[in-house]
Amino acid sequence: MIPSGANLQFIYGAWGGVVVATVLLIAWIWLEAVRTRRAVAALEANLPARPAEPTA
Amino acid sequence: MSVETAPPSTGNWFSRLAHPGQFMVWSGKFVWPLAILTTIVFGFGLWFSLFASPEDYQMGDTVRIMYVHVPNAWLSQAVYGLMAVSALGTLVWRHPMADVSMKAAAPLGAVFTALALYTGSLWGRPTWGTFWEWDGRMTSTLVMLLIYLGIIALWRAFDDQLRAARIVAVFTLVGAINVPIVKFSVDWWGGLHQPSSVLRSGGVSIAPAMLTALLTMVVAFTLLFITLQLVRMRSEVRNRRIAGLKARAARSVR
Repeated sequence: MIPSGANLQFIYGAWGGVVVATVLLIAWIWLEAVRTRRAVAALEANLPARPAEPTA
Repeated sequence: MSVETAPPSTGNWFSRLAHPGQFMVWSGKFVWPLAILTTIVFGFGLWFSLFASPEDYQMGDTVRIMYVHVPNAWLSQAVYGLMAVSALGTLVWRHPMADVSMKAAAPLGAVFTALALYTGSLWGRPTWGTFWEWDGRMTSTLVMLLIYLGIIALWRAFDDQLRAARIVAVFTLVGAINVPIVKFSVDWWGGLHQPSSVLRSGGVSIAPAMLTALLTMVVAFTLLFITLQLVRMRSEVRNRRIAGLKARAARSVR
């Protein structure tokens, strides 16, 4: 059954805190992944050409 | 060559694991399946924790805090254990992915430890009559949080991440002495915490319905950690690639 009765504020406080912290953690890590993926793609698209290898 | 691609795999699994490009290839296949599996297990865990498990005969519904407190407390120690193994990988085997794993895990461990302390204090107030008591378990867990924060600060203090890795690895191994202290503090010094009721010599001492909810939530949080750790490791590999590309671009301008 869903929690009810005494000490509800502690039960919902604990669960609510965990849910909020977990969502924020996932969002932070997700945004970091998107940022780095885009940054690598942008930098690799603008790579300066390597000098040609000398040929015999 | 992009960081998301890699040369053909050669050598044994350990050397393949050491190549950042190879890591990006195989880890990329696991992220979404792990995320879906984590969501499914969390669904079952929430059902068991909030609906299927009974009230405790003494604590009533307050026992439901256990289903979020214990997984976070377990992960606070397990993540540190992973970091200690990664620190050995950095110092002993000089494994290129070991310090990436060590760096990725530190903020996750800090969050799980902070949540263990937070949920524990909210469980303690109605159960013990106090939010905080300087008993062995709580004090050593607080020390563990401070160690995590110290490790995060140490990573940020160095521009040279390879140099930082060796220093952080030594600090991590020194701090690992706190893990058995957290685990056995209740046995050694007593305090308000009850002794272990799952991993103990006399067998499990929790009602089956509560044990099902607890273990499901432990598995769900552990899967969440593995998923987030993989994503963070992938981001860290890309961060190093970004630093390398920027250095290359700067050299070409000169």
